[in-house]
Amino acid sequence: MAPIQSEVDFDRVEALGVSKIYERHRALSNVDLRLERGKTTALLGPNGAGKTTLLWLFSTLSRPTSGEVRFGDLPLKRNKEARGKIGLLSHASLTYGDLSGLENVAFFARLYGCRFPDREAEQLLQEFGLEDAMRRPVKTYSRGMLQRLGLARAWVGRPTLLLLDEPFTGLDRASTMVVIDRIRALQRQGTMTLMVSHDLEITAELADEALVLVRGRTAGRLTGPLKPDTLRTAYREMVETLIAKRGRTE
Amino acid sequence: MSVRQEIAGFVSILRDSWIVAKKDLRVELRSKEILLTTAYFGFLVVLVFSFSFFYGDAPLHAVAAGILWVAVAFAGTLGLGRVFEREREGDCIRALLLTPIARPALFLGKALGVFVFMLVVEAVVVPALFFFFNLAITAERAGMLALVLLLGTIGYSVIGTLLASMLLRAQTKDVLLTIVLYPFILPLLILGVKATAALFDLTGELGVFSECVRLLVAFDVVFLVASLWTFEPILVD
Amino acid sequence: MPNAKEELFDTSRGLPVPWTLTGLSALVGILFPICIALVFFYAPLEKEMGYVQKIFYFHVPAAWIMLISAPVMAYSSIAFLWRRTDNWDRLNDAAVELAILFGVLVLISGPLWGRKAWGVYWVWDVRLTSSLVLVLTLVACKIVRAYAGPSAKQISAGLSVLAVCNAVFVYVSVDIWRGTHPEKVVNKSGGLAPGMRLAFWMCVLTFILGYVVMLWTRVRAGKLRTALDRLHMKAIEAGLED
Repeated sequence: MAPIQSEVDFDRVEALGVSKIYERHRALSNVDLRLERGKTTALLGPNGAGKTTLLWLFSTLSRPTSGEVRFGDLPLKRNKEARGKIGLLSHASLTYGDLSGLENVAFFARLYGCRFPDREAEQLLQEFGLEDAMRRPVKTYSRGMLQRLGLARAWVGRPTLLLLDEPFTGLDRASTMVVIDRIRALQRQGTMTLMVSHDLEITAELADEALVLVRGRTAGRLTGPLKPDTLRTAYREMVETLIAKRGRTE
Repeated sequence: MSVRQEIAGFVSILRDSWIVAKKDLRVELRSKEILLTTAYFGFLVVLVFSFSFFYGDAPLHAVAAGILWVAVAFAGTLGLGRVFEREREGDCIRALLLTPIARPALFLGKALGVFVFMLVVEAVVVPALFFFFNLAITAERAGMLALVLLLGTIGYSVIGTLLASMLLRAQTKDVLLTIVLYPFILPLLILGVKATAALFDLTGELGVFSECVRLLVAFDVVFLVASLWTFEPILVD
Repeated sequence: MPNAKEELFDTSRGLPVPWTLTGLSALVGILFPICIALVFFYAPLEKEMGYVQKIFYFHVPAAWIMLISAPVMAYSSIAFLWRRTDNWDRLNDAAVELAILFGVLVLISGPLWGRKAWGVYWVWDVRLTSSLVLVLTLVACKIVRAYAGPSAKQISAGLSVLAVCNAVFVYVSVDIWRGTHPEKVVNKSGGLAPGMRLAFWMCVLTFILGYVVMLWTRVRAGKLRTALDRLHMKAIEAGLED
């Protein structure tokens, strides 16, 4: 088994009719989604709608029960090779608390085959505004610093696809804005982003389009520039009509 | 795939696994939590068993070999649980799985870390055993003891790493790990104890020893290959 | 998790029972009472052991079934890991469960035999010990299957291969560990009286046929279970149930 070549790249990622079934529970049912470079797509929906399940299908760490996830023109069999080009920022820190920020990022840089991991890590941490704290153990970091570190770590592999799994939970407004600014900067470099967030305001700020999921099914799509209030009303309508429809059939 | 690519792939697997293992060791050097607790626990196991097997005013020599391996096995389980708990804290395992390194590299790296931890534990347990049991050993036999311990530890860390990563996402994984792990390491324990007992018996022959060592080598090879082969599908759902 | 791509069967018509399975089950049903009759009324009473010797007619076939199920487990799990078709997984699960069942039979009847033959319930005989360890590792497989989460199938398939390897190693190492080779059970009663021989081979035949019937039925049960899961899911989607 050879290491995964970094040449693997893609300009779009598509989920085609994906379903995910756990035992007797269908977490996702026949969902289509297309991600493109420079665009941010948000997944919205009430709890248990399958947002995180869908996000994980895009990470290659979880495979759909039926349907497929396609990374550009990469044949399905080689999907897992795309994982080096996927960055992940989640509510968990994804870093080792006993190591310093520098050591954490350098460790991942090494695994991504970076030639000068320490220099690379130092540069990244400076870029993400952590130069003062980079030699401190990560467990002493504040929540906002952790998320910036997480973003630096996710950026190590220069991902084409950035996955955001509720990264703003427990983050104050100021830190959220800093992280959002960073993500925007990455977007401008042509990253495609898939995000899951409960916060409609942040979603409106960051996302270009949104997919609303209710109980594992597509409830609707929102495109065009998203504004917080229009997003809120549209989202409410979609969820409520779907729940109301279900109520009648029961 | 050409031979050159194969070799390059193999080298990079070794390199990546060393990076992963080095990270584990570095984390441990900072916190020292696993080594202190497991080595101390191993020491306590030796002590408790020494008390249990006192006969007259001296413990029975014959049980020393058994106690050594039981102490190593118990302490190893404790360490294994923690090593994998660390990957789960902060969900680091996901970040690791997303890196482009080959899965066997990840497996070998984790196993290597566990292996080194266990060697440190053994460095505490073995002297304690010699001290409490008034054991004597020749230099040559000490080298042979090191060999048996090395082989046993390789097998243990391979199986332990495989099972611990299998149970990474289970709810009650600490309990599960012990009940799943012990049946699988029984042959290791049997062979290790038998070989060690042959070494401790200074008047005895060493024919059994070499037979055990050969089997231990076979055991390690079979389980290493089987683990590398089954590790890949484990972590993807 | 059920594989949605897998072709199952027409759930509206149910899973028909093939006549071979019906016939086999009937055959086992007829053979079993015959076996018992042969063992207790036809085969002569052994002088030393008395009635306890009758255990032999069930202990040895059960042990052989365990032996047979080892390659079945190994083959099915490798086939599953290779092909990823659920039927191999069902066969593997069935083989593991049956190996546990027959293993427990061996482990209960063995000591009963030992008590009479050697005066102790448990001897660290290679066969008995490796059977015990095999059962323990297979129980571990079932536990992992129940708790390991989404990739439980692959994991328990992998584990069952390891369990078979492990049993082989136990077999070899107990031999060394014991130092002396204890008398093998079968060799001891090697010279079977003609009456005993008939009863014994009838029992072996019945056990093997019974094993096939159980294996088959368990695989079918697995299929039905998948079908039930799918129907259940459809019901949820139709809003009939939660």
